[in-house]
Amino acid sequence: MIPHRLLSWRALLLAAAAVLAAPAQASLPGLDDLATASQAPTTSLQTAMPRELPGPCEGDQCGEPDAPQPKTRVRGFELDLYCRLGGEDGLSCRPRQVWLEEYGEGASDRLVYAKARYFDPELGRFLSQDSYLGELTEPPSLHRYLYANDNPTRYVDPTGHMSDEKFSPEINEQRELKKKEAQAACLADLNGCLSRAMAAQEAGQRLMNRITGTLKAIGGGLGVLGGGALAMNAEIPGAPVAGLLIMERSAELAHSGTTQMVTAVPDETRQEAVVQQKLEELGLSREEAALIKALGFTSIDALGGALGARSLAPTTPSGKALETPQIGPMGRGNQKAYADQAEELVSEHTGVPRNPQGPGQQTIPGSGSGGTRVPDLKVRGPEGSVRLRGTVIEVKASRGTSFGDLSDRSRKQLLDAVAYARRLRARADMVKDGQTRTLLENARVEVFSDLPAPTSGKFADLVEQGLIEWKAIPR
Amino acid sequence: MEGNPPVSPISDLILKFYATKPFSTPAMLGALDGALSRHLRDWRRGLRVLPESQEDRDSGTPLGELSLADGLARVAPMKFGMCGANLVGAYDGVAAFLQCSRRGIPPESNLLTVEVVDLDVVEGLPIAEWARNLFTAVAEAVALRYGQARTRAEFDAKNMIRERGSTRAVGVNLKRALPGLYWLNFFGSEYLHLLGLERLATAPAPIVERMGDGVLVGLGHDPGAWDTTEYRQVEETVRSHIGREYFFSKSDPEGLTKAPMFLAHADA
Repeated sequence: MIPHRLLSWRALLLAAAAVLAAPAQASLPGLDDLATASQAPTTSLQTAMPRELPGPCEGDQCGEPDAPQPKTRVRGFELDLYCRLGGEDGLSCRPRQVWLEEYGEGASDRLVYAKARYFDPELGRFLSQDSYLGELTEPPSLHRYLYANDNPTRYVDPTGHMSDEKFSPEINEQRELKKKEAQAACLADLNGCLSRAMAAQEAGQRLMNRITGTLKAIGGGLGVLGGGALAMNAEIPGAPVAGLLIMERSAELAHSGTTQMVTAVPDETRQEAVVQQKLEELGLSREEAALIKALGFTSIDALGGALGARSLAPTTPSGKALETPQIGPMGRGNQKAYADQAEELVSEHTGVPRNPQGPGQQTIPGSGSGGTRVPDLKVRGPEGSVRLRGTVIEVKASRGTSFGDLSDRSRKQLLDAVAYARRLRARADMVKDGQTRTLLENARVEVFSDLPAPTSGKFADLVEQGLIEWKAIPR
Repeated sequence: MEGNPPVSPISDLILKFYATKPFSTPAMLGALDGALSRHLRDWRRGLRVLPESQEDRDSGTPLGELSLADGLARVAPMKFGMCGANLVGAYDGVAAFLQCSRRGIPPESNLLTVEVVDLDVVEGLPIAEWARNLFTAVAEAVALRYGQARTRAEFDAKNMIRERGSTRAVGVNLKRALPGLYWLNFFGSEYLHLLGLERLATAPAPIVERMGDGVLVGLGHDPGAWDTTEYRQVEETVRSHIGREYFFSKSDPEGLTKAPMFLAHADA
């Protein structure tokens, strides 16, 4: 199902296409190709020509019937923070509103007229390609829909054509002021700010990995990620400020190089085969790829927000009295009550809320229905913060006497949680903040069980690796 | 082995191999399969590749003429750039657990664990002799970052904490430090770069051999003797020779340590 925001994005693109003159002659091969490989063969960037764009004009002079009417502010935009983990101070943030103010008058409630082209603040992308083709030595500049090389903490784009690191004194002053305000706000609530940023990262990481892999598969578009950045917006219900995180991917992708990036797959048939193979490898349908393309290329923000809003709903600390169910004699009929009691006990013991079944539940990728698994206790904290303890907590209540009594279903659940912990560990080196990195490096599964710890076999091996910590249910 | 002290009666051993490259490529799995076929010949004849959740030897179908790579691809294909499978053979008592990662980060992510339980003779050889043969064969055939072979009891004493109903491992993060010195230790290319070949090759240990991309250091001929005074003396001497700062110590778990800089695979 296509999300509402995606539909509106498509409508906007159609409107923009009507306004703008010639169709693009060149495009970076990317997820576009996964979605429509057989219909839309790509062209090498090396042969691309600048597209014809309407010349710079001022306000009403533009004259197109569908041109957006000027307004000065974009609704709700002041709430966004654009934060970077790492750097000299460990964290720097600025409101994304600055993106608009650099253009001054001319913003509609959806689109910003950026002199040479239109900029969609909600998508964080221009709606037409930059007439400036970019420099091969600067991969981000080759992506002609990005604003300011997708790095607005460093660059501005005052003309709509190029990213410029040199600011006018006025803009500089404004940027510094905004930056300091945002930094102060962030520093006043550093934990919250970091938490929100990490939550945004988590929400979008899985998708980013897919995008990255997909882009690599077709040898295109790496410049979009390499050397640049992706922004993800976590819209957190009830939180006063949404967190945005820029993830630097240049180090990880540097080996792919510029040469590969500009080499499009010329042959349509071969391209289709490559695309099909990669889709199968990634386990993606063509429709999924199309959706990711739409979101990834033009609206990572929207996706991060959607994921964030879904998975980061505020939680209420458990304040209710522990209800002890009446546990009857042995038998499966009482297993649910027995498990409920165990989960409640572990929740009280660890301070980690139980994960509700239904609205507000948090999931991890797994082998359950829909490719997900619902951990017994929550894996992410209040206000969408970083995972509660760097662990996934599983509760395995059992009346058995040895580890061998653990059911196959429970083993699969534990292995899903272990796989999640392994993925967190694999991400640790991408995080610059030392504390968070340590947390991720030591990601593990805390298993609270009535059964004794495994002494041999696969699960004993996982305990030895530190991926599982085995604990008794505090009955 | 004339002149060696009598081997203590042990019936369990754990061999761990931390690979430099993903344990998912046909080349890596082919090399591994070759070593298994030579030193676990009978076991290999009934080899089955099982999903991680299954360890029952009656599950699955024997590989037969299929390669290990084919079996792994069928049963446990890469997911999110990672995979995992259990290998069981023609008889009980020997099992292997495989984990692989395309990126190769963290350094423990491409790991093969071979576990022997309740067997004092494997493939016709005393367990210690057989384990040393397999350990060296794998170290020579497969590019390894690090390897260890020891009893579970030795690891328990050095790296496990069991208290108040909790069981957990400590010091097992290679990015921080080596987890310890055990019966057999293999130091791969990253450790050669960090520690220097000469230092490792001159370790005052009963077994020091250059093999594959690294150096094998063995603290004795008897894996069951890990708790003896002699073994502990050798262990301390070797630890001092290599450098205490490279090893985790249960007595100083927060001590400053050194470790190689492990990089993600370029083709990940």
